[in-house]
Amino acid sequence: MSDIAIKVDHATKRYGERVILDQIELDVIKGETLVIMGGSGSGKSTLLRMMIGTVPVDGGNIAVMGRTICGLSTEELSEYHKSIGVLFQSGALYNSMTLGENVALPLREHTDLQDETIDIIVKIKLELVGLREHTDKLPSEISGGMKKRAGLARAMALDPQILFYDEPSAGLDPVTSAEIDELIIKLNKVLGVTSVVVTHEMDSAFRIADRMVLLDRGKFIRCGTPAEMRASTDPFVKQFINGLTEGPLTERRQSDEYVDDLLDIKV
Amino acid sequence: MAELQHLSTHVTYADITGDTAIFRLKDEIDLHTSPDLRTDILGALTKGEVKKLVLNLEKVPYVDSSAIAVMVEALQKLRKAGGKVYLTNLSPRVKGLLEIARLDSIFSVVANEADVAAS
Repeated sequence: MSDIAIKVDHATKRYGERVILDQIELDVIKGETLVIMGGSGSGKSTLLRMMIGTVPVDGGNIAVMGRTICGLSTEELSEYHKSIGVLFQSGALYNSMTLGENVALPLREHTDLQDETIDIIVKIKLELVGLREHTDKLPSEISGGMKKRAGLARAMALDPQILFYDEPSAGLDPVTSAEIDELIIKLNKVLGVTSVVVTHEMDSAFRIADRMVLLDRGKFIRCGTPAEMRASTDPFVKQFINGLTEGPLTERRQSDEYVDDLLDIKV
Repeated sequence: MAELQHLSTHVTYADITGDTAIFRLKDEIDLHTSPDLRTDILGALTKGEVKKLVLNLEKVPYVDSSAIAVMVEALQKLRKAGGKVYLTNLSPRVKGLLEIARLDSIFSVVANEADVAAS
């Protein structure tokens, strides 16, 4: 049996003439936590959405657990979505439902479990993210960090073997962020859950990653373990992970078509 | 001794003797199969005066949250009568799942069936 959970094979995404992701090649190994890093416009979120199947691939292929997710019918895509968990940046909760009802929703929609069983699962999942005592609250009654944790409880409702996280630490206080990281690590180490995490929070990235990938303007720059990335002499990697103000990323920003753009406007 | 009939495919052996019901289970138990297991286990609890439910998980490599929920539900029912749920022969993965869910202490986790009598 293959130990590859997700195979990204020359995946390309274009919007019109603009290439957002350029022939990305990447394997996500079963049971690992892979962190995808990159600045704004690097294509990291697009790559995550392509793996989730919500953004179509324009060239190449993405296979999850040995099956392509490109060109799936609506029904096939829906089946695929039942097998994965996704934590969206906002938590993406239904505002008219309590936290408990939000977590129960995938269980009610996709399983034949009895209400008693679902009620217990909801309590277990909310306890996992430290929100059990808030089961009956509406999303509007809790903070942004709590919404994110509730979103994670919902993402875990069906016990997926692959979890995708879109900026799990964004907008969280350091303690809550570390707690979410701890949970990602536990799910990974104890249950063998495969995690793909998009983040630009370096503390969190280094805490949770088995391997890290750096993208820049839609291109693959480097992939390695946290130790390999720290030791990398690649100027892009060095600048990004150390948050340096000088390096190829900022030099490019300074020279990027800015003058041409201004002159064009003047012309 | 009361042999139990028409059990789900996950049950390799089931028996009620006195106040003790024993289930030996096999294979991964997940969302698709836990409803049948729930019927078996909760059904057994209605027979006689069961106070000890023993679930031998030696041949179960993995359970998901729905299977854990069935165990919790069984415990809810037994506790009212002062009973307990014993989990034996846990794989590290199942043990880990219970620990993550902070449920390892509400069940009586023992090494094997023989330890139930001693506990």
